[in-house]
Amino acid sequence: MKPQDHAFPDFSRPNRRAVLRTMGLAASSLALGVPSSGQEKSAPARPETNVADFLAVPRGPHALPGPFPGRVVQVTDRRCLVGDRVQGRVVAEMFEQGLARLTGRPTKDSFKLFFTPTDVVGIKINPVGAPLLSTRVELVDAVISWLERGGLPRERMVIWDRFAPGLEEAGFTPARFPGVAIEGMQTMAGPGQSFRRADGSHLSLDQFDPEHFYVAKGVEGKGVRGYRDDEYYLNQHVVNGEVSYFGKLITQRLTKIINLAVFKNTGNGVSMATKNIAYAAICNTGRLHVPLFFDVCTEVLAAPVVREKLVLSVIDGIRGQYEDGPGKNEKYMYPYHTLYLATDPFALDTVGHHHLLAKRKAMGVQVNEHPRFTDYLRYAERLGLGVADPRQIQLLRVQA
Amino acid sequence: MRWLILIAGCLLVAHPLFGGEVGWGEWQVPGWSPGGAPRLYRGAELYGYIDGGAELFLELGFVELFVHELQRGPARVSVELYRMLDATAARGVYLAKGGSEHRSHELPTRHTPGRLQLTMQQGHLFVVITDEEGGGKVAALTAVARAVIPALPADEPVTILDLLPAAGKVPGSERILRGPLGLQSLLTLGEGDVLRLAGRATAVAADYEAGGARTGLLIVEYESDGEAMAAVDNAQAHLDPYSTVVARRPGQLLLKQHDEKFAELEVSGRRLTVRYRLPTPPVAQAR
Repeated sequence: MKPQDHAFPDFSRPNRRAVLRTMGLAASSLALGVPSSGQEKSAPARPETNVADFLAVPRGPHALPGPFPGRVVQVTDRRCLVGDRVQGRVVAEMFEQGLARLTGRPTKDSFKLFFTPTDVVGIKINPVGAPLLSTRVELVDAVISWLERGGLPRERMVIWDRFAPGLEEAGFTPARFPGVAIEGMQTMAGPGQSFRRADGSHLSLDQFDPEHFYVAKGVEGKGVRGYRDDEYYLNQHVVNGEVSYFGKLITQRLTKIINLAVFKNTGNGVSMATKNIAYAAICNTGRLHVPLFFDVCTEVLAAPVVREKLVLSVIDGIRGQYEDGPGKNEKYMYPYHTLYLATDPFALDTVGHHHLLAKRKAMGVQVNEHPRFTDYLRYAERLGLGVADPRQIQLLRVQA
Repeated sequence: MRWLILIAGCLLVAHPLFGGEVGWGEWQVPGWSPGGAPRLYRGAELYGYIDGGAELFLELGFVELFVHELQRGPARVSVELYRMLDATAARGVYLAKGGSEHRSHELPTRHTPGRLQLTMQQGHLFVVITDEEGGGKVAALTAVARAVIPALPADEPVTILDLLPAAGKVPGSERILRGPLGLQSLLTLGEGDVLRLAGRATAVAADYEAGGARTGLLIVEYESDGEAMAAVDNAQAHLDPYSTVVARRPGQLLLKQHDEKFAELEVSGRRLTVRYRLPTPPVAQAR
């Protein structure tokens, strides 16, 4: 038997109870009319997912889109960058001005809208493209300061990303953030190292929760285009069946999440608020890019373990990148001096998409404005997760 | 015969870039010390280095990447040497990354300078040099680039770009495509490899400005007339649901696209020409 058959005999599929739950709701996903890309016309067949399971769970008090659906605050202050140096004091001012405008409350009161001092708060950063493009440590400083002043001890904060190695490269070290946990949910073994334990299981397998998963039926992480072989895929994605598991960090430890994304493109779409969470909350994502790409950004955020915990999203646009993202390319980077804040990540991505598109056009980049790159936002609106109709979005600008 | 294969294999190991270049694994820059062992990524291993951006390289034709970290005092520079399948693939990456035909007294090869990153392309190599400290040490980037250039392979003309007419072409808009990812960045005709490029043909594209309108032109030369005709048939069979067919004749397809603009596919021999973002349908088709 091949190693991968030994490695994940029980974990490559959800448990029996979970299977029954999923199968029972498969039919109702059709009844709910979810989902399709290019839904207004006859679209190609789309893989069936378990999003209906997520939607069947009653929404709690903090469910997306949060207390301010459709509201986005844009804070711009040119003083936040002096040359290449980010000015932490100015960034903190921008963050607090944005919070006040978003919530209509002073900073000391806005904490109570989202948290209690017993929460465990995850601060999701984006390390891709460091040191030029990643979430700035100065923004994280501002967030931590706000949480501390609200009464949350640093021991109840976790700076996290899906992959461990990128955190340090982007400046997120214990020395820089004493008292705050810094965690990657997953490791990838490097050259000459094994990603398997003696029993054949993946080093990171225990970091994922067999009770919470995203299913894309018939879409397996096997023979995925662009991967040398299935072993290589497993190293990077932990499992390779038709199931992606949510990290235990999210399902078991964090009670709230703050999402700190970066202002950048991915092809003709954006890699901002929703993608920063969706492709980091679960494993086994490589299989999803071709058949479901942006829809994953909607459906993973529909999962109760994300939907009920993601209380605030911020886009770090201190420096932006308008082309060749999500990786870094200095040619397309520019000082943007901007933060965006929202409780509604879909409204945030809608605004981000429009503003990035305008920049791309202004810079003469070839753009393809096909609706396929924003269908996931309208899909989220139909599911009640956020607002995507520009006419319904309230954009509040704060200019220093 | 088996001995011949064995000897050939040993030669490949001894000269990983067997095109007459230096072995990049042992490559050094005077005055700089290695910041670690050089890393090598072959084929799809590239995903382990640039997850989220590897597809562009792989679709155009990627062979291997050497990454060198260099240090000199507080300065830290990375050098990425991408060995592509051929000069066309290397130019395709260079253009997609915003490269221009810039040459200077200091760097007499095709390069695009920046404060934090410098890219170069010569022959089948594409090179990215990055200031990893983010301090804008342009002189350091240039110094490392100067050390790279003598080891690059000879440059080669990428003649397929000559298919694009010069009149009205927007400078810097040229692209080289070999699959659906590249095509999707310009226009959406349908799902998947609708023009049957992958493994079959190379396309070139550019923007053109005339009369206040900016339109797109894409040209593919297939192996045969039949391949070109099949591409048009395939495009219609997998048509984007947001598009509608306005007119169809043998070897011709006129579409109205999601944005109410028009795209025309036309075959002539083994050449397929696609004109897109047209504000009005071509006169001959509209009749």
